[in-house]
Amino acid sequence: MRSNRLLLAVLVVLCLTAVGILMLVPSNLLDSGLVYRGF
Amino acid sequence: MIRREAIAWPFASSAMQAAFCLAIAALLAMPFVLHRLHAPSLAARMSAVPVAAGPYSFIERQIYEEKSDIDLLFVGESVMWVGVDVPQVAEGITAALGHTPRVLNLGWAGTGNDLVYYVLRELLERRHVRHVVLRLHTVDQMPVAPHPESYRWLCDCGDDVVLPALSVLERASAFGVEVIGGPRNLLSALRPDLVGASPFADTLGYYPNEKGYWNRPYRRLDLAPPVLAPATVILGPATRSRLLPEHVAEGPYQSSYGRATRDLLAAHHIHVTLLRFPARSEARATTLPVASEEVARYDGATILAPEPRALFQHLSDIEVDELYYYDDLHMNRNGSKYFTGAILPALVEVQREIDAQ
Repeated sequence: MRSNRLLLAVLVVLCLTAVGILMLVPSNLLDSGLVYRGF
Repeated sequence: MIRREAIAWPFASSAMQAAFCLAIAALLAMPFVLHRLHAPSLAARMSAVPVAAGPYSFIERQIYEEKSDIDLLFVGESVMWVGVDVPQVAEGITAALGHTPRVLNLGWAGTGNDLVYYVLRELLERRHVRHVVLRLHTVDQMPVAPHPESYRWLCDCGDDVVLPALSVLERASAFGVEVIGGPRNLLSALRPDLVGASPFADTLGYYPNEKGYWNRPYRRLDLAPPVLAPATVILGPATRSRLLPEHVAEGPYQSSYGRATRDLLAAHHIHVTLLRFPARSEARATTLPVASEEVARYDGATILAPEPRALFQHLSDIEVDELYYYDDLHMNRNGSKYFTGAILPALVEVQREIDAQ
């Protein structure tokens, strides 16, 4: 039970870190850079 | 009243939950691992970019394989890439000065001083360049965010003079950019990308785009450019008022890369020219707004900025439309040939002065 809680805490920390970092990525990389289809 | 249903726990077992945690941790750690391995190389990163986003395979070959000196280099984003017909420049200089210069157009889609810095840093480490022409931006085109393809090549490695000096928030943002590029860069590190012959080799990097204004049908025109005396195109004390400097909030990321580019060019003793392209909406204007920060950054550089009214004086509004495509700024094949022909005497004059030094 204790290990499950620890794993849950790790999951929450990792997900919050990933979301926080991705929120700092400028939108021009996410809405045009990654799906760029030609010029 | 909204009925809410309980969301089922997404993991069937603790092992699955642990595997998911490991996958996220691996994504977050990937930039650190790639730094540690010094992989993939910047050459490999560039060769992974699709040709639709720019002639990166051509740029990669020019940086890492070609060895000859470069007399005149146009470098920068798409307005430069589609706007300067470098074979025409080479022919014009050959005819005027009696020697065949090595001229290149290293341009790409998307704006960013960051990519200008990276390309020039890699190029100048390997090849001698005498004269670099950069774009003097319109006010609304001053780059602020990282280049849209920066997730492919941005790397907070030891030789980057800009990223380590940025604020914590800016560095975290750059790290986020590296995270989203991590899986693709890992693939490049595991196996090389096979790069074919560049379709831009025949035009020395220049992209003669055959599209009509705002997706209208394209019609090839052979318009004779106006004869503009070099003194009216190369800004001097009498013509300097043609530029209207305005303050533009550039942001620390791009302004830092802008300063780093200036310092890099100064360290290699390269003559710098700024080229101001006219936007379609400026076709009848006599003045050109520019960012005061950019003009001040390259204090002492040659500035080429033909007066739009004189440049387009013999053309109707419909004919001016047919010089542009995509938006207000990008010239198609008609426009680039017309514009290049008009600034060519001034370019020859600048090149003649550099040769005499």
